[in-house]
Amino acid sequence: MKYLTRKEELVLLAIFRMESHAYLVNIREYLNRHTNKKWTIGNVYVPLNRMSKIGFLESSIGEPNAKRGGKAIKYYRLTQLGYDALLEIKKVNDVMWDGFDTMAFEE
Amino acid sequence: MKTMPGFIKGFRQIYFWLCPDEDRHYLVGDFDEIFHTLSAEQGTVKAGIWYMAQCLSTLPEILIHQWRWRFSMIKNYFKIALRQMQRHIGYSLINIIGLSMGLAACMLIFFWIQYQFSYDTFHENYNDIQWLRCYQQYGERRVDGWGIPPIVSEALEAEYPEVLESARFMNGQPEALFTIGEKKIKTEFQMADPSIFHVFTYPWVRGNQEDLTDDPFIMVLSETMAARFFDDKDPIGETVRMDDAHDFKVVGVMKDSPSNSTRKFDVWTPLSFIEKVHDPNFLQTWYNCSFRAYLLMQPGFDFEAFNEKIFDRIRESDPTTNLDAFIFPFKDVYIKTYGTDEEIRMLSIICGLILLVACINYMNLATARSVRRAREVGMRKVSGAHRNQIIRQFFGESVFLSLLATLIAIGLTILLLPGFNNLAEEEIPYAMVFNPQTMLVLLGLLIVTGLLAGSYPALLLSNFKPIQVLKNNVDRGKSGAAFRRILVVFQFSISIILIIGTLVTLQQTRFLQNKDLGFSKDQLVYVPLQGSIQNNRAPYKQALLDHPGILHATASSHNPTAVYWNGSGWAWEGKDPNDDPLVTYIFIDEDFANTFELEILDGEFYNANTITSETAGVINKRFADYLEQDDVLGARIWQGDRSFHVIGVVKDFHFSPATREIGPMIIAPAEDNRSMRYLFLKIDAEDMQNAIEHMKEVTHKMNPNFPFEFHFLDEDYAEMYHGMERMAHIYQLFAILAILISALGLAGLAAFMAERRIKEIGIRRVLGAKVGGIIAMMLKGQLGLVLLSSLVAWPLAYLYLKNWLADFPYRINLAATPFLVSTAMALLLAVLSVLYQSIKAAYSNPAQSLKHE
Repeated sequence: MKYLTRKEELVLLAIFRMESHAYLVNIREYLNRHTNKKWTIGNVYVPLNRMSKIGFLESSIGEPNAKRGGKAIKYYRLTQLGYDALLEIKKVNDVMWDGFDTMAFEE
Repeated sequence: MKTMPGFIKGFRQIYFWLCPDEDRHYLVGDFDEIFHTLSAEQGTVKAGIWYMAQCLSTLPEILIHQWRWRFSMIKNYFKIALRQMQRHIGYSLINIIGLSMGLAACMLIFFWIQYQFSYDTFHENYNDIQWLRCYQQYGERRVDGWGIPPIVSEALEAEYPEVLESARFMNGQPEALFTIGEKKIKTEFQMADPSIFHVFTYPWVRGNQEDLTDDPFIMVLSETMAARFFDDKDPIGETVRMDDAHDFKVVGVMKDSPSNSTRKFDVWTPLSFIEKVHDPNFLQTWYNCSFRAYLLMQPGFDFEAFNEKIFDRIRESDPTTNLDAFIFPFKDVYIKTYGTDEEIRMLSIICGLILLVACINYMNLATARSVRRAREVGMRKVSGAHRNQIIRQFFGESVFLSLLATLIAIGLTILLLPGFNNLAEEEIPYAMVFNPQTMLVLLGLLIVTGLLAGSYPALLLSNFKPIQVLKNNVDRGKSGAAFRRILVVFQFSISIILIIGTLVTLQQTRFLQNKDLGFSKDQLVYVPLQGSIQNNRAPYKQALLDHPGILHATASSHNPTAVYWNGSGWAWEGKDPNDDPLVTYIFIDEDFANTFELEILDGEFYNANTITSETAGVINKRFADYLEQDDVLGARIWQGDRSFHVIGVVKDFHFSPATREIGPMIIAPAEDNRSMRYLFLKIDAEDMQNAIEHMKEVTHKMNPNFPFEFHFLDEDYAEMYHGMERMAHIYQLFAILAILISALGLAGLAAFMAERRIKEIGIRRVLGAKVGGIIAMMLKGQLGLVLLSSLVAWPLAYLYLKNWLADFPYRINLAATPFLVSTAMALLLAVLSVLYQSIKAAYSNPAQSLKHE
């Protein structure tokens, strides 16, 4: 099977951490703050769209407001499938990373 | 909150259109939100810059993402289309071959048309060149003349600043004998102003065009002619002697004119040379219309206003004239004055019809076999496909198929181009196949064909109801059967009309070729009178007649294929003053009637006495009818100070192509030797070889400076309707193509019908039907359609052709033959295309076909 990409993994984790009211703008802000990288809107949108199609994310529509030019908000939430996918990645990561900092780097 | 700057709104709108449907509102909303936050913190300018940068960096990412999802579906369509083609290779081949034949025909026609439009465009200034012509006013009648008096263009160049330069050509290219050292070559030459090399583009490969002078004795040769005159020697500065009289210095060698040129020549000499040699005022007249004048105009001048200004210019200088000047765009000359526009119109229509016929093949086969695709459509719909997606899929398939057909068509065109060039007598280069314009048209053609061919199947198939289809409840292949029949009838009607049209065009051409001319053209040979035999005509003629094989001889001013001297202003007693017929005149000697076997209706022809009379005149029947007098003989007719009394009337004979009506004519004795240009000889068919040997000997002796030449008159006539015959052959090619494509489609339909009725046929066989009966049953349906097509085609073709023939003064009557022949052809082809499948079906083993259920 295909693992999540790094980008997807980070986006899923961000949504998981934010618990509720995660939508494109604040997910991007969260990622910008915690990864020290500039995320473009496309960088965030593409994983969101793909994982919605796979079924890792579900979405609900919020109210429109003037600041958004009269457009509604689309909120994303993790599904059970998404949660399982994260869990699987974590297991792999745990195994692979185990003891990394204690190992000496030999020339 | 600050409002958005206008240009950001533009970006926002584009972004909105390009974003994926389902999320475009939210995405734009997200953008707006960040923009407003940013502009509150850092100002609108920075926010605006951010907005644009974000749009540009984000859009590609989103678009690629979006297409990756769509692509997986396209991949599926593609796979299914390929599988369908593989599984039913026969049908696919019929579709592709039909389409590619149709497309190849369209491409050839397109090349041909494009080539016609390329005529004269190699002249760099072709858009700014105007052809100066004049109307000739005859009483009420106005004739668009091609020529113009020589002085007009010079006058206009001097008087109007918008005329940058003017150039004149002498009408026609006379022949002359050129002597280069020992070599003697007879060829045509063009007299024209040196300014033609500025106005037009005739690039020189040798000599310096800048050094061109007004010297009347210089010459420019084409590369081909330079090679003929001088072989490998550098011709610049060499001397060429014309007609043993005048020496010309070669100053330049120009490239050969391309074949798509209306003004081609191989030898150029200055116009001023005639003034030096013949008449010093030759180029100063306001009445001699023997010149073609062209004006190089200031780009952007006012065409209409200029035409108005120059209209009266000739009358201002010469009040007695009947000429009014006007200009005509040089770029339109080939299309509009050579009759090319009519041919282009015909071929464009044929092109469209052939494409339609080819598309109908695809439509019919695709819909006939739609039942096979019904389940697929059902499955797709059940799995959530929208009707639009199915329509898109089937359009995609037809476009894909026409793409394949286009590729094959390109190959076919390349193969066929030499043959087509041969038929059309053009030199369409291969390069035309690959130029960008062609590719663009081809792409357009491909899409139009794909959409046209795919339209009906796509709409029909996407309309299937999944529940019925999946319950195996479709009306097996009957969907649209009636419409299919209509399309077949339509196809065959088109083909039959095209064939009838071709046959009638050919018939009319043959009719004109074989028409009784009013004189006998058989065994007539002519020798051009030039050099010393022109002035010593009588002894030459007598020397020729000494041979028993030469029966008669007569001198004449014109070849009867084209007598083009004519004039108006003739008068007679009791003439209607409003009527001013154009009268043609030919100069002859007293043996003309004998040699041409003219029939004398009234009075007598000239004899040795009357031929010297200055007032005796022989007219043709048409003119005699015009005079409206009880006794035409003795009637006086006059024009200015010229006057005749009629001594004889001859039966009308054709003195111009039979596409023109015979007009009034005066057959007059020659005024001087110079106007007699041909000697016609009636030769005994038994003794042809000896007679021609004799002619050669006598001519050599009496006219040593000119090579002997002679022509058969009937060959000139064969050449006369050549253009018409050539077009008829082109029409023929495409008519045959159309009917072949139709037959191909019918063969496909027959295969389908046979397949569909295989069980029915099995049962019939088991119950005792004979093979012959089954074949007849299968044929009956298709042949009925072809007969119906004939019924549709006949009246349409009849009306069109009746109209077309009405333009010919001498024409065939529309007989039943072409109609019956075309229907017979269609029937034969239909039988051939259906027969194989019918026989195969009829002989199929019922045990096999009934085994499965």
